[in-house]
Amino acid sequence: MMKKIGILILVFMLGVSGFAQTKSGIEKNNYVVSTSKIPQLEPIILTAEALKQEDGHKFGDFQIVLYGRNIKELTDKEKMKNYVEKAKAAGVEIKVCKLSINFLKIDKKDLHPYVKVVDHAFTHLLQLQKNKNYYSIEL
Amino acid sequence: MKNSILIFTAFFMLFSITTNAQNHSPEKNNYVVLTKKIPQLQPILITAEELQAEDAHHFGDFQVIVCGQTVKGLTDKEQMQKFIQRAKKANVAIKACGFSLKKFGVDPKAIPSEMEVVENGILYDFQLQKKGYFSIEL
Repeated sequence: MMKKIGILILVFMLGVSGFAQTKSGIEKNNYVVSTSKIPQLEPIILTAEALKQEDGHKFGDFQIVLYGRNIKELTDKEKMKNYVEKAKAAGVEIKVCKLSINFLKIDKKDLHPYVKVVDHAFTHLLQLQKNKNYYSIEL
Repeated sequence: MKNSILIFTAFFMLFSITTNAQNHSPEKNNYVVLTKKIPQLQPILITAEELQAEDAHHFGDFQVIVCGQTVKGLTDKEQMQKFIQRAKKANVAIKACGFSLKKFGVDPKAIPSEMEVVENGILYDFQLQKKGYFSIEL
């Protein structure tokens, strides 16, 4: 009898911990926005600021992935400094697609150090959605 | 005694399974499409009509957000009227991004009165996604 109750309690606890695990996995809200236009950084960063406020401690990660042929301005130090400061303040990471900078013959050294290179924009986007449950928008 | 424990365990497990299922599939299917081109409204509305037929009473809400330079075209009343009428029939809400209106100098009063303006289209889209909306950007 005691043994059976013990087993029952064990089953109950397993159920509870299993539930807690699924919950903690989705505790934070993570976001990713991809864009092929540098000026879009501005409204995207504003969005991040608003979501950060809205989510409070549930705000997780916010990434911007830049790709395409129109991202030459990435080497514009002045402009990028401005965006990077805002992004940093809002807790936003900026990534750029390696294929795109190779295509544009941009040297990695000419990028702002805050801007990180990912191998392939779309793969990165899908991986974030697949593995980490990111909300995503492709602008 | 043995039986009652078995029944209790089975009941408990069933209960935990149903709560889990509820978390993952809300009763209604809701959709949001963010588009940067007004002509895309046509295929989007066709999609809404088809999903409504497919989902039947599971069809919840369908919203379209119009963003970017294309918002200049929202002032073309004649063109927009076609879409607005069709959207009404299909229970689709078409919204305009306020940031885009501002950036491209479009007076919110010059767009169809049926269209609601949301302040920031990207933010609005994410807020709907957080509520469980399926989303596509075109």
